[in-house]
Amino acid sequence: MLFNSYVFIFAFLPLTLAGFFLLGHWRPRLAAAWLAVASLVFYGWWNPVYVLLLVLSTVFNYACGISIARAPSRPERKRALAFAVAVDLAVLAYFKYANFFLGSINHATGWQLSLGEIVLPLGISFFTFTQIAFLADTYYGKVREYNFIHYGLFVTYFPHLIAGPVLHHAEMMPQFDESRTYRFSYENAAVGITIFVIGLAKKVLIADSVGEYARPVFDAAASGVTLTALEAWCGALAYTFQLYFDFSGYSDMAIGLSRLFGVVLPLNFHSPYKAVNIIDFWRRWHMTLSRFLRDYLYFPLGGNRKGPARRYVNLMITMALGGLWHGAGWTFVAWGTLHGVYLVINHAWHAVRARLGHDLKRSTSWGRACGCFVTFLAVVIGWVVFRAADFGTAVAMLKAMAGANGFLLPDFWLPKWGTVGQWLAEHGLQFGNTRDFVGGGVVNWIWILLAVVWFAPNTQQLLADYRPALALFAERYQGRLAWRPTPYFAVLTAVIALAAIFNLHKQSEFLYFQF
Amino acid sequence: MDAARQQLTYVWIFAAVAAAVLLPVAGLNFALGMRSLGGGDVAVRASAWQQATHGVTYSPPLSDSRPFKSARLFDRLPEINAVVFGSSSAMGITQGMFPSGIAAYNFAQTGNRLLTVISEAEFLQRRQPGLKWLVIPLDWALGFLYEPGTPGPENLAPPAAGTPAPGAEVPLARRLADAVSLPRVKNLFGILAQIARAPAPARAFREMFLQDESNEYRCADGTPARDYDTIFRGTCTGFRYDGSATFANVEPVPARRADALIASAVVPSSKYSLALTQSGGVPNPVILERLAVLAQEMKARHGGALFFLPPLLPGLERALLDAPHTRGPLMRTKQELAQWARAHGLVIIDAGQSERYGCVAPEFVDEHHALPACYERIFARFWRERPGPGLWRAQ
Repeated sequence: MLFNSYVFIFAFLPLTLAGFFLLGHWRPRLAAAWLAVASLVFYGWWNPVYVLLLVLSTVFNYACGISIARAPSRPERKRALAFAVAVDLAVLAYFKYANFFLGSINHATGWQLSLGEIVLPLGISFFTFTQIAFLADTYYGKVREYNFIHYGLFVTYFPHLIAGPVLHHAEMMPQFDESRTYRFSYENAAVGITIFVIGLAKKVLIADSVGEYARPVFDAAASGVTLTALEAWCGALAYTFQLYFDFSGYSDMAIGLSRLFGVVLPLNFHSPYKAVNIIDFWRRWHMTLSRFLRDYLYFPLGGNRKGPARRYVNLMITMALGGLWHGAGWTFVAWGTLHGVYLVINHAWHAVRARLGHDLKRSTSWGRACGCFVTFLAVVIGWVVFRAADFGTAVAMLKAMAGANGFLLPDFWLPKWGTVGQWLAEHGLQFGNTRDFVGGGVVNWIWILLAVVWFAPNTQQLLADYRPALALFAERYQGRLAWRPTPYFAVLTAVIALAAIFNLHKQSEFLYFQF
Repeated sequence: MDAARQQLTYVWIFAAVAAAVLLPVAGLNFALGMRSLGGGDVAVRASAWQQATHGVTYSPPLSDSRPFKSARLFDRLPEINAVVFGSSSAMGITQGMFPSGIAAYNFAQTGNRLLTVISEAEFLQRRQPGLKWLVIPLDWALGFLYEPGTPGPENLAPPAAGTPAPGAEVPLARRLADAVSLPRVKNLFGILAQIARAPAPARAFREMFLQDESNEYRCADGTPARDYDTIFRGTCTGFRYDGSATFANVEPVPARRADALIASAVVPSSKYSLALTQSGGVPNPVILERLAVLAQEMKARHGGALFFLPPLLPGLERALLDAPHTRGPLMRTKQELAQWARAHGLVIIDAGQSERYGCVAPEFVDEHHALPACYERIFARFWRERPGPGLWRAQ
């Protein structure tokens, strides 16, 4: 079931909310169980067969967690942990990566190994990672609660189940234990509805619309069509914004939905295109995944404790595996590795500046603007590799963006630009008959969305006074758009909700579902 | 106002505004949508009106043209000797494209597969001795030519009055979802704006919301028209007397857009690529066998079967022939069809590369739906050259 579907908005959600608060008023534990069952229905709507996988995975990991906690000695705990994590990774590897690795082996050797078609269970990466964190923390003695219903709900909780955030038991299970979670609150309803509507609008009105411009350009590159620089940039930027608003919209919807149930989720997205360097970017994009990779991969590899060289190796390994997490394909590994390189350069640059005696905490607005622009360009280049069907397509796109195929602009822009256009035409810029890859307003979409992602406050900032998410950033927004539960904002939210609902007919999946 | 009261007010105002818009929109569109699903004897009434006026009309829903087309076909059978079969990609073929002596009705229906076409043709051949010509598209681009299976039995009875609504089995949830979809909402606001501008708004409201069909009006060429659907009203959308579509509800492809459409159509995941790669380009032999039998019977009646590969957006077939993943399957299709046509003494018009006939992108509404202007060029060239058996295309 999709958050952006009629059945979810008008049937599943109202019924689940009603059952949750009715039961919660009477017996909270029953309400938690109701929510867990509803989450399984939500998951099973896609393919009921895989509900069994989710249930087995939940029960298995819970049982392993208990056995780790009760193991009498450290070596036994370690063995139990290794076994549980190995099983989790084996399941993940089978469903997500088996055919990818076999395909790679076949490609290299000319063999014909095959496991047939394996359907990727939705959200498998998310519920696997969530539970590995639980097991690891149990091993380190950090887990305080072992209530099975709360654990089951923590894993299956539908707002995060399919595409995150990657939840941590320590921030979720205590909330399920609080009695006030099970009492209806108008504040939660008002805040939850608003955040959900903002997310829905981002997905339905922006991401899906701008995505229509990205697809033909990447398809054209994949088909061998020679693109001009403008066409390639428009396609790359359209995808950059599609992914941003798709994922940011999903994250908002998850946070808003959860808030309706009185549960505050961790922040997952904090205006990543405002990042002033790539380290900052990864603190703002898919924050809960970054946190997971840092805590359960980068730190166990040694982090930065074993010298700069080892730190850079650890970074590269973490990012390459992070890339592979996003999808079973070499382009994803390349994308992750590229970001690993970016991070290494960024850290090395900081090290050089520190050695030169610069104060890294001080910056000028020009410096921040330049940093933001350069980071954004680096991220866009990364997205090209991420989105491309294969390396050939990625290279074709990047070559076109670099101007290898010329900078031809549509001739119908020339009269619109007036004397400026004439001057540019006289000084080398070419105007001519172009194809329609960049027509239909994509350029307008791009500059408007650039302004939004660079200058507009984000959802969490707009609602900062109402604790929309855990781990809020310090910056608060105090302008006229700061949300308050006034009639004006109620009407505005309703209008946005209606616009989104009327557009639900062109329903599309979230891009992060495939990961 | 304290915080709790503010939040309560906020939630209720939000709910009230959303409901105040959503409920009337859903209600009015639901009422319109019920009639858009067709049903009752609307196909019979629309057909009777067209028979009487030779005007433009169709019976809803537009996506299911079978009841209306069947009714029309049976009305027209006494005066025709040729039937054009196929799916919506053949709806651009008009009576005017055939030489004198061939009186055709375009029986093409939305989404009509080749296996069904064969059943329909066999049924008509058995029942209609006066039928001499069959015009049948061999639609490889949509995969119909490769579809496995055998043609089933067909009983092409015209719809009777009182036939249950074809959309009656559509679940309520889907009808409600349809009622709040943007195209329906836009249509509703368009209707309400028209009603507000009408000299007699109450009458206009009655015509739209309470009357089953629109009042009669004239298309740009003077042909009368009447709408039995609640969308596309006043636009002359539907079928002409000869069964061809007016395509008045769709926009032609702008020339600048063609390259982008072609690029998307050629990627391995497109439906065109998949039709070729999944089948390997090998036509279903049962289809070819049954078509050959049909053609022989028509020859025996001093008529014939005219097969054609439907025109594609100029440049699309060339691009598919250039793409490594589709080149082999497409060439195989062509070779097998050429051999088959020669072996049975049949002619297949290969219109896939429509640019060879002078067709241009604005003569298409998408990658594989050609407007009559393109078909006109193809058939004019064909009748002029009257080629011998085999796969023929303009040089």
